[in-house]
Amino acid sequence: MRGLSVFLTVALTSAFAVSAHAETRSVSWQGQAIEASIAEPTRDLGPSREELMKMAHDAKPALPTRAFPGPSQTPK
Amino acid sequence: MSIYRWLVGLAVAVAMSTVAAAEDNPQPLIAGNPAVAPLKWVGLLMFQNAKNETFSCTAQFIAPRVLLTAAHCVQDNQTGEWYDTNKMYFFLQYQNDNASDIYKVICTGHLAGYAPKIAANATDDQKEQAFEDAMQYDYAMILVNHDSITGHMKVDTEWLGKHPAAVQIGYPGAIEGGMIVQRDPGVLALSLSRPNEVILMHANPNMTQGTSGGAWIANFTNGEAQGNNVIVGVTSFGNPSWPGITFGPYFRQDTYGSLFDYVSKGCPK
Repeated sequence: MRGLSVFLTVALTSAFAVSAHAETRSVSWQGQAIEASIAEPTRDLGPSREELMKMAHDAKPALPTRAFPGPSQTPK
Repeated sequence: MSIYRWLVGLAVAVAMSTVAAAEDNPQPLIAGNPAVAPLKWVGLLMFQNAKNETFSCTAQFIAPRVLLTAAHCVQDNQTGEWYDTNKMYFFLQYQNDNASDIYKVICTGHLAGYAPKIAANATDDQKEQAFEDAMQYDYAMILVNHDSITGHMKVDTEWLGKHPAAVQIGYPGAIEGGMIVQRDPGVLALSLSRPNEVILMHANPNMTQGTSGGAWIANFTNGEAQGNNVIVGVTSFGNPSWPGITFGPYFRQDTYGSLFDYVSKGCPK
């Protein structure tokens, strides 16, 4: 019984872990190499508008991880 | 002085020589009006990384359901981490904690050149060079879940010799806390270091963090006639050695067109 419980816990955890990640693709399209990330089509509405606006307010500006030679890069 | 720095300096000199030909009247950095063209097609892109840290960039509609932004706003090309498209949202006409509409993401894509495949035995210099070269592909497109309620901008590819100037737009965190879209006119030039990289010389060194992915708009005007408000680049990166200079990708018709077609179709397998 305990073994079954552990199995179910692992299985369910794995299922949620997989569904929480978007799928990524590397394709050749019209001769061009393209990489993509696809969201889950069945996801729910997510946070409320108020929650999203709060998140946007608190968001930090994005930085390219490497942009310029030397230590003096200024991410945009 | 490295050859790279020398080449950038030369590019800047070339750009300076075209100042007199600039299409836009010189203006100081100014808060834009998101109620009218072209900023009514612009907004704030929000996303999270694997550590649940939340970030913002600038993006804009280039088709009823397609946004243009910087590739580093959708993926970290150093680690390979894609920012979770399930937690990515676009706030159209974002200003002072408000937006006219909020969009969810269906898929996002960029050219593979932005994420270079580094050989396991590559030297540090080779890695550095590969990632520097990758920045000339630092643009991405995003398919969203419903049509823009305000319309979209046009994009011009391979525009050298056609557009001497543009207005950089975005939500710089250093100005108004990133709450208001800003615009900053500048002069365009081709980077002499890489074939698909352009620079924009503008006035304000504070037009930095948060402006990533913001469009460079030629023929910037509130009027919506044919030929007005044409995107010729997006903000990628800068360097304090040259404050007021921003680097961005140069759109080639074949690669840009293929990426647009692919993302527009929902990023198929």
